[in-house]
Amino acid sequence: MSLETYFKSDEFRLFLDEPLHQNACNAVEKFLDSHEHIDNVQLHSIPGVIQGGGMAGFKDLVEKQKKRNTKLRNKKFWEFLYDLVFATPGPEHSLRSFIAAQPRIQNLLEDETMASEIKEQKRIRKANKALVEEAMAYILPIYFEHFNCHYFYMNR
Amino acid sequence: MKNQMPLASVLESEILREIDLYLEDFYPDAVKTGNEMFSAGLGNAQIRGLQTLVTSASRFSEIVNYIKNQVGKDKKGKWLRVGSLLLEQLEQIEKKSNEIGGGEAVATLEIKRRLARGWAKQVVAHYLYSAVQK
Repeated sequence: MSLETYFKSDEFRLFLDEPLHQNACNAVEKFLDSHEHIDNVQLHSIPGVIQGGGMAGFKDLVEKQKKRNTKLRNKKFWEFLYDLVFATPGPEHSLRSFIAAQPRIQNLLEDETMASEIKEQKRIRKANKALVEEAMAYILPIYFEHFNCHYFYMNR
Repeated sequence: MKNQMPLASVLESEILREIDLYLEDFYPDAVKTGNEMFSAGLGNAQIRGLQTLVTSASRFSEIVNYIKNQVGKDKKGKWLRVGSLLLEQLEQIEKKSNEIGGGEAVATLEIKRRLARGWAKQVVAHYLYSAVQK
């Protein structure tokens, strides 16, 4: 099954509805357990930026917000989001680790240990990274729908 | 619409029966929710908004997210009063859908959709009934 076929499957729709939802909720709770709460307004721009600029636009937003001379708790939030989405390999609870660990995605990744040449290993690593990022880009809007709504609920 | 699978072929009659029986069992809980939503002071428009969302949602989690969002932005505390009850009931419905669906994605998604719609109908009916009684 190709990534495109997987995206069109009922199995993927169920993945968006249940495991991805649970993962985003867990990430919110992890943040709230170990950080000072931030105002909901910090999250309001996320869906629009993802819709308009995709992964790249979202990365720009996160990096800009991290650097802004603002409250420390806000900086900590954007740093948390950076680790959650962009850090490689990323923490255990990160979106990248979670997606890469999905059996359907695992089936699509090539095994770099099967290649004997370093050049070929690098090619496989690059292709695997690109595949995970393609899946992340596709999933990102719904992931942040789950993330934001759960944050608003928990921060009530 | 041409590419959509006819509903009857998605679910076996035995599964449709299980859905009906579960909704029958769930009835007292839905009554409680409808009454609570009325007592919390939620207006007709908000109840109809929830029902419309349940009917049009393409994902079950859209319903869950809608409720969380309503609770999060509600400054009068009306949704806050019923939010956890609604979310608990949706969690039960999701769990039951997975149980009936037996690991089949297409069936589980359809069961969730049907149970959510059935639940919303019951809740709205009892909200409206409560409104007339008072």
